[in-house]
Amino acid sequence: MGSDERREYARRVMANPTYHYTDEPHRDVLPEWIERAIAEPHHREYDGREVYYRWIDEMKHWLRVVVENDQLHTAYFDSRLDRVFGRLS
Amino acid sequence: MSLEGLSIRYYGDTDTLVLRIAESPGCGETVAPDLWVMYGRDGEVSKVTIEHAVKQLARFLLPCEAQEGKVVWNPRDMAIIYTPETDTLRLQTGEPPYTDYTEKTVAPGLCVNFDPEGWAMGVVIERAAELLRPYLLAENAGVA
Repeated sequence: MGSDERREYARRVMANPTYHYTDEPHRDVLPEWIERAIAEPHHREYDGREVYYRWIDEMKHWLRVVVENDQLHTAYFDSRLDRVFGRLS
Repeated sequence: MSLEGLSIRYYGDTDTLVLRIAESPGCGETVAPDLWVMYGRDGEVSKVTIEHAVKQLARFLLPCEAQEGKVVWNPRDMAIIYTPETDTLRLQTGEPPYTDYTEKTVAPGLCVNFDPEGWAMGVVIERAAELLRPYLLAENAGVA
């Protein structure tokens, strides 16, 4: 998948959130950061769901984004990832 | 539902159980793949989230008839310990006997424990079946 396709996929996922995602407050997580995490992750895992990890320079934190069945499920800054991946800036 | 400062919501679309103490600004910590906690600006725990909740907890918290046919999910990097005598549910990472952990009550009936470095290692829910059964039984019904 090329970078344009990945961004298009990220937008599609964000346009199709789970009810859990829309009902829970995510005030500090900007949509552009979620798009960045999905389209250009630093790390990625699959555990039955797609999990994307991206260092967000602006926040100096790792963002963890979970996508389940092409739906945005969770997105939050995960302090424990500092210990796993280290801090990038 | 709100119980003594603890707001409980169940999302049937993702089988996710949320125990909310306060509004969360979005910074948190993954304790295990299916268990995470969020912190408020004051650094206090503001929310505990359990994913695949029915799959993991039904066999412990639901009466036999009600859990018939429920899928059992193998917990990922997390021990689930239920003590029926005290109706206490412990979701725990790390190695037992967990004696090095500092337990902190974040809401009535809800404790989070931390290792000596301050990382969250697990949660303890008191009156677990009494509190959570209505939500687990309401699976697929949307928000209980």
